[in-house]
Amino acid sequence: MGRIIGKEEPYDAIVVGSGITGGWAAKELCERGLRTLVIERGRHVEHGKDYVTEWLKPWQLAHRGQGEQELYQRDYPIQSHNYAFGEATRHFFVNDREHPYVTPDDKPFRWIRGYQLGGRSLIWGRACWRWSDLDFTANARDGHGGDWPIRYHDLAPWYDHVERFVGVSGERLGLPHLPDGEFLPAWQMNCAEGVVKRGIERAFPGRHMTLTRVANLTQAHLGRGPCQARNQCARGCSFGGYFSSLSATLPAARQTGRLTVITDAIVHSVIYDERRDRATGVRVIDAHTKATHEYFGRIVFLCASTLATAQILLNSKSPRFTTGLANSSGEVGHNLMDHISKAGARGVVPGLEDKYVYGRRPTGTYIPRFRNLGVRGEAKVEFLRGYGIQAGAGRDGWARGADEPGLGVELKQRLREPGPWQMSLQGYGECLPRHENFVDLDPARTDPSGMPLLRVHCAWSENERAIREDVKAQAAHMLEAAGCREVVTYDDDGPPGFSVHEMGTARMGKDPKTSVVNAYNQAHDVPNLFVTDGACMASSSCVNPSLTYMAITVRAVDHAVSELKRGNL
Amino acid sequence: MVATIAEHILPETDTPGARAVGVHRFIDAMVAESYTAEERQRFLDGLAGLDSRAFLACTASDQLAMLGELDRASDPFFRSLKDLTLVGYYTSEVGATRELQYVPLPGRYDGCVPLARIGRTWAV
Repeated sequence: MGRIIGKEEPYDAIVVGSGITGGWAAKELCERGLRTLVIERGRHVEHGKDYVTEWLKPWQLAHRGQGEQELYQRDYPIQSHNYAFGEATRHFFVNDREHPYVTPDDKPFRWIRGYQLGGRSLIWGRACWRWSDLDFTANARDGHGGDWPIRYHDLAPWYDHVERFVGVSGERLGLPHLPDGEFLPAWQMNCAEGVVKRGIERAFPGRHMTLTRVANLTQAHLGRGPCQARNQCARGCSFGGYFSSLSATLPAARQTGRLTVITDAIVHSVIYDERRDRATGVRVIDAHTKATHEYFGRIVFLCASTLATAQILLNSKSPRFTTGLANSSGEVGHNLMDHISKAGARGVVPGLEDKYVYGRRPTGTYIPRFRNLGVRGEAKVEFLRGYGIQAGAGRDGWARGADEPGLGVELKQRLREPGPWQMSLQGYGECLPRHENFVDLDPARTDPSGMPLLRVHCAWSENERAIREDVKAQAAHMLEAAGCREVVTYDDDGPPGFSVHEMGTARMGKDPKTSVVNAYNQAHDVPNLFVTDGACMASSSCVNPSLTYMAITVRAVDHAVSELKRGNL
Repeated sequence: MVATIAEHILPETDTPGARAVGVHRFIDAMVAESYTAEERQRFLDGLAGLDSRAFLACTASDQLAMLGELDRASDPFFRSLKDLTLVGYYTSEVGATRELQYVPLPGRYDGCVPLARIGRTWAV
């Protein structure tokens, strides 16, 4: 490591990472009166000004959106698989060549990252679903993973809290396993989706299709938005139409006057003081000069994202913690999960030739989980847990001209009208927690910043494969039942990580022998160290996890602040 | 020759065709900058396989007939040319805003409107 320069005045709180949980931790800590330092490893991005592609029209992109394949293969071989990656968003994804990690040849892992202020909150999918006790009791009921130390009623008020600030557009469903929240008006379904919805709900009583609950504002909210229906969120949105650290939480934190942010600063390790038995701060490597700084704080929140937080903990060794900070259980790095996805079915919704849409809706529809709900008389299936289905319909555009014969005047005239309505269903399914899915540090090699390379050992297993099969079969059944034609299933399976819902490497639990953090996300071993990003998750549910990360974070901050005030930290 | 083929695929009608929009320039740039080395070689091989002198010496209607045959036979090189032509045309300003339509800032989403009220395919 380089020379240590500068010793700062201690902060009240240090937050590692400025992504979706780091931004929330910063806002809540600052609003509660704590002088807070946020440390972001990536570059500074200014909301609005630095959304450099936001206003580019298709003909203003150098390659009209087609990108440069050799550049992607060389510098973005992993990131370029992500649905949000493209010519207009590449600058919000990491350069894979500059940020390597290690996997065994037979266990690839797709680590999708964005190293900038705001992190992946700039490029996330924005779906916001609450968990229920079906999720929080899953580990206890089937014995995979360790029991969650919390239940839905512990988190409910914090879901309320975050939804009120975020602004989630959606509709209430009254489903016990997908709790309702406080919503702005839902986005509209289009006519084809309406037809499919009615067909599915009639043919399969108990199944529902709704509009995705999404962090895109259908009306102005706390000075942000509304969303302008451009469906290009990952370019950044100067309207604040969608929730991100840059549009919402960091500005709120800044308004308190208590926030300090440093960027281009990579946390190398948490400083643990053996004598005082507490975390006292972090060691940071300057991303450009490689010089080292130390920052001190009374509490430390790790919000660096699932894999990065594990890497920091494992790299924070000391005489008491020879295998990594807060790792007396041996579980740091273990129980890594992701969701399965990219399996489903497509079909043509007949008719509706005289109907179209106005605007570009930034989300789709959703079929909530209907498997293994624990209700009497439900179908028995060959897998545990379940999946939800992301769906949507749209009319084919001009690109269909390349797939069919036809040229000349006839082609041009034909493409002036949109093509048939296509409906697509894609399952997102739960992954069981397994000890043998884990990350650790390469004992020999380091990355360009001097951190030991992260090694990821993660593979799908039988339960996840069984879920994929049921997704495809059910998706096809539902489309057929709804009257769709030319129904086909598809399966674009990928390695763990590809759903960008990686979580679990510092799990919550009641027992310090089998978990890393407690019911309030305090490390069992180091009570003033908190982990509230995806690392803390003890199971994965099948719904998008970010809303739950947010609620867990704000609840942990509330506890941390109370404990500080009581003199316990 | 690429410009001629592109114009046959998307000719001038009541709006400019592929040649006037400069689709051949787009195709050149795509092949040179967007494609991988492998894709580029395949494209250039395919192009060389078309006898350009003979093709350009034919009448326009003979040219169209030849291309129509390649199209119906799903000739892979012709299909890639057709794909490039469509992309180059419909992502151009003329293609997106005059032949089709494009609204940079819709401001709202209406899920079920009469096609007659919208009029034409959205370019994006």
